[in-house]
Amino acid sequence: MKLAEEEYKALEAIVGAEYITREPVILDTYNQVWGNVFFFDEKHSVRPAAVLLPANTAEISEVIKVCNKYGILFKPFSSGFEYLSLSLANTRGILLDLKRMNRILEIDAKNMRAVVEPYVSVYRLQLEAARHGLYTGRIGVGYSAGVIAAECCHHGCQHTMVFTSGYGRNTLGVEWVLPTGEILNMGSGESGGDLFSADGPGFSLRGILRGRTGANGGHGVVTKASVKLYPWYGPPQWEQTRKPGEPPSFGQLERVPDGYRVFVPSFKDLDATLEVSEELCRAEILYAFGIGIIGTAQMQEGNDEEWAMIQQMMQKGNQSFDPASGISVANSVVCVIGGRSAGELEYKEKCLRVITGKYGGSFSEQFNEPGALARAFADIIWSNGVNLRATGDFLPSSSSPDGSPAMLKKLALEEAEVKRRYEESGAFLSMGGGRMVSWRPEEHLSIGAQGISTAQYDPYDPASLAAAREFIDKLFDPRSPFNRYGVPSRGGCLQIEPVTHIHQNWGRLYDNYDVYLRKIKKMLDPNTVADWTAFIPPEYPDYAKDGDYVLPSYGKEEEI
Amino acid sequence: MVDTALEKIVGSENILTAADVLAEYADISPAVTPKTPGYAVRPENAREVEAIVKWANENRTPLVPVSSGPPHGRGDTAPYTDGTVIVDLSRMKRIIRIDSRNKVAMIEPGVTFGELQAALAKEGLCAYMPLLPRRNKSVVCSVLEREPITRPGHHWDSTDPLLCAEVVFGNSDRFRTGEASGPDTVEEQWEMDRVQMNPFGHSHVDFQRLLSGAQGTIGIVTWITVKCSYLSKVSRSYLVPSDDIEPLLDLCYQLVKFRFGGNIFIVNSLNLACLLSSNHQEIQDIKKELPSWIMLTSFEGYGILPGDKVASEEADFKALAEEYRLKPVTTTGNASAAKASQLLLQPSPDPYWKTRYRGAGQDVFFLTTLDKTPDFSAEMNKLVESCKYPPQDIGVYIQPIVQGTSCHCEFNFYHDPAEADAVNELTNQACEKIAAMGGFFSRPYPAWKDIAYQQAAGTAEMQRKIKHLFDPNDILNPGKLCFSIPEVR
Repeated sequence: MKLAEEEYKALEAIVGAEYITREPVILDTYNQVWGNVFFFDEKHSVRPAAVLLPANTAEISEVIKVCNKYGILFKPFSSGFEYLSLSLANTRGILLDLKRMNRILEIDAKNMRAVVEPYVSVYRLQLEAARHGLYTGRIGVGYSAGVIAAECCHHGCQHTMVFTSGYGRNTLGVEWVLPTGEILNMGSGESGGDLFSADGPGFSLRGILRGRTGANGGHGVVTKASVKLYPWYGPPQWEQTRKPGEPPSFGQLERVPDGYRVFVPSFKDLDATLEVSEELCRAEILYAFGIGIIGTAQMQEGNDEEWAMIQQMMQKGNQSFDPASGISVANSVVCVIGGRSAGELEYKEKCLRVITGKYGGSFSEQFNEPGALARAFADIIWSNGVNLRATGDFLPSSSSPDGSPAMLKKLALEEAEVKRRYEESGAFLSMGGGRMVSWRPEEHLSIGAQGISTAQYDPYDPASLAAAREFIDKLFDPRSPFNRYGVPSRGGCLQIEPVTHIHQNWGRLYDNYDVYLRKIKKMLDPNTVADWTAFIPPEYPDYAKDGDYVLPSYGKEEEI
Repeated sequence: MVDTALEKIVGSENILTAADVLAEYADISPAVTPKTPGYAVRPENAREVEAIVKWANENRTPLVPVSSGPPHGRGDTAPYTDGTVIVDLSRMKRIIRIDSRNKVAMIEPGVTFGELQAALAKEGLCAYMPLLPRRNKSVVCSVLEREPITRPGHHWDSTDPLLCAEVVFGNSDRFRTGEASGPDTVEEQWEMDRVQMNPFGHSHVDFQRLLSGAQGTIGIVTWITVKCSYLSKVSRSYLVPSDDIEPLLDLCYQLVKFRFGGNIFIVNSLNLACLLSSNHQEIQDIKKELPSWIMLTSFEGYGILPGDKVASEEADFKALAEEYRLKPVTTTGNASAAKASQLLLQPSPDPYWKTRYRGAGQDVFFLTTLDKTPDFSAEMNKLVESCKYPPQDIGVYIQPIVQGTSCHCEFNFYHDPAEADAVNELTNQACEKIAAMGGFFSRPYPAWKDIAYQQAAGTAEMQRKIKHLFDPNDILNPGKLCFSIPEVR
């Protein structure tokens, strides 16, 4: 449904004609991303009625006031990587593309914080922070992910969380345009002071800003955030070099930077791998850590080359690079340690070697030659991006709660059993079928870890797509044996609410958290103008049910 | 007259009505006008708490949850209305579980630091301690009130060491935050290796953040899980003395940034003397041998190579100290680093360390960044001189928090109890000065809550809306934070 001329003109008057569009050809570039076919049956999600590029907080506030006046849905986004950052509940929705708000406003090196606008990417902040001897944690999805998206508005998990935390625990200040158009500054920033604390006076409004995940635009626009930074032990600048004629994806560090050391030990089986992982994480020596995910191979130039490389790996069989010793990716871990002095690095390396030795770890040449270690370092510290390229789509973190390593192992193995059937039928890409469990430690495991599992399927192969939906339905059905591990993705990550109905299905089992979430939504957004597709519906629509269970409703509903 | 319904909930023996007993719940802070509670009830478990909150909603009776023992000095548990019922949680003192592998303890509100430390030590763990809390201070209360811990390198988030919580909201809903929510009992969750260690959510809300710093206005917490540390096998402590605070701050920044050391904080000479001594004379004797400022730092050895860990950190620490021309020592005058460090593992021996110098003390604390603390200190000195309060009687405690991104800055105006009114006036002026200089009153106790909220109108408005969602009848601790006292009861 198009906007009325009066409505469009009201929006145009705020941002200027140059920064608003309703051209269908441009609008359709905004609503085609991965995951759409899975949820909406089409390459495109709901086409926005207009896209605006506001320049600043004041403009956003004015735009939202217009949305309230005319009942227009809005959704802000920065990098727009995920389907849920662009999905809209109806066609009277507009997207706020925040790419003009791209300034790093402050880096306070002494007090280890940066103040950024929404379009500052993680990698850009990493580059800038390194000049000050500081670092911000990487996000799994790659270089271009937004700092504010990861810290305040969306999900964002990472292999550096062992040292740099995440999930909103790094937020020190926020400027937030509410769905009414009012502007709220949280904590020490409200009086105009430095943004060193977002908590108080009294209880912290960070509680409603985000939980395990953010509101994905469902409760307004975060226009500025102060985030905590961490020590960077490497050089202030670096270069990823490549040989003449090689594609950009082949760029790499020549070696692991001074100040860091990387080790990729391998273990005899999964149990030993997970045991040693726990002990390594709790030793408080790690800067970054990954189980069974080793970015030592070069990223290929195109999808065909990537697919060929994967086929080659699969032919080698069961991810095992050395069947005699049993060394495999699944049973190997990437450990990055960092230190400001030689003595600190020596202690950490000694500690790591003693612990890995205790569990019979070995350091294979293949994973531990200098080039491989440099590639592993770059991948785990800066992120080369997610592995979408093999099949064109994936199901990330299908259940993925956070918790103790023992719980995550139990869940991952149960989930893998279900997934195996689809891999064996050819519906999902199989990496060999070996037992594999991966989790991402948070804060030296002092608050647990994030479970991570992925399934790769082809959205344009009907059988593969059907299998992917069947697989997710099994995990998202609260009557399944998985219902005791927590709400899928702990109730917020990558679901599209009008399709998967997570809150409606699971809230009643989990202390009715959804009741409060819905009340908060109503309190913040009385006119329901902030898009809720990746937050919570203002009311639960009456969908088809099987008993208490609201059935998934794949496909696009343009007027929900 | 006690309502019989309430007697049915907790039993008549757990309803306290005697005036002398109720006097123990009174607040000694001069910042509050005391109201006598109607009575105090002492529930045994969450079910009883839930029933009490239901009863209070039906009868529109204000409740004030209290878990620490007397004296209460910050005003946050002072009843503001007649007829208030105190919900005394001190009977709920189970240490429900200690998970040594995951370093998590689940505790009820009546558990004190001494009790928790003793239980944790048996499991090779220790609690993250605030600076010498009162002997009868509730761990749950301290954690919920964001009392700073002395180990800033492990203080990742302002809510640390809080993980999950069970709470009865003001509307009487019982709720579990973070990983703890779900269809199972906590015992059933343990069978699944769900150990209530992950604080996030559920979903898009971090519910525990709405309880932390709330002064009991959103819900009554019936247990929490807290993260714990390994008990050190090797520990080495130093005092870093200096008459100039600037180099100490520089060193402090570096230590916290690179996570060298366990306990790290800065105090002035008076406060170090108060911590180490037991009476006025001893305090004066120790203080006169001390420089103006002292940083205490300890190096904690645990894990597979405890000695190597300490040696490595200690070497870097000494090199850094030399860069700033500081000389770490194990003793200075009659002050011993080892003794101070040992004290940090336990609650304050009696008498409470803040009462040892002059019998009473009024604290003023706020958040700022380390580099700003000298300005605040200088201004406080000027202010007290103008108020004819002796500058040498101010205690100062600077605690880096959230891994050095900010700090808790505390001034202690020690005084004779008879001088309370004068010190109250001084406190008001100090708070106004601090706010004008950019100090942030993150924990708005009655002595400065009005000043804190003068600069936080948007936060206050939002907090009132949130309060209404969880406590629609304003039952819980009315009048605290930015909340008004309902006129009609």
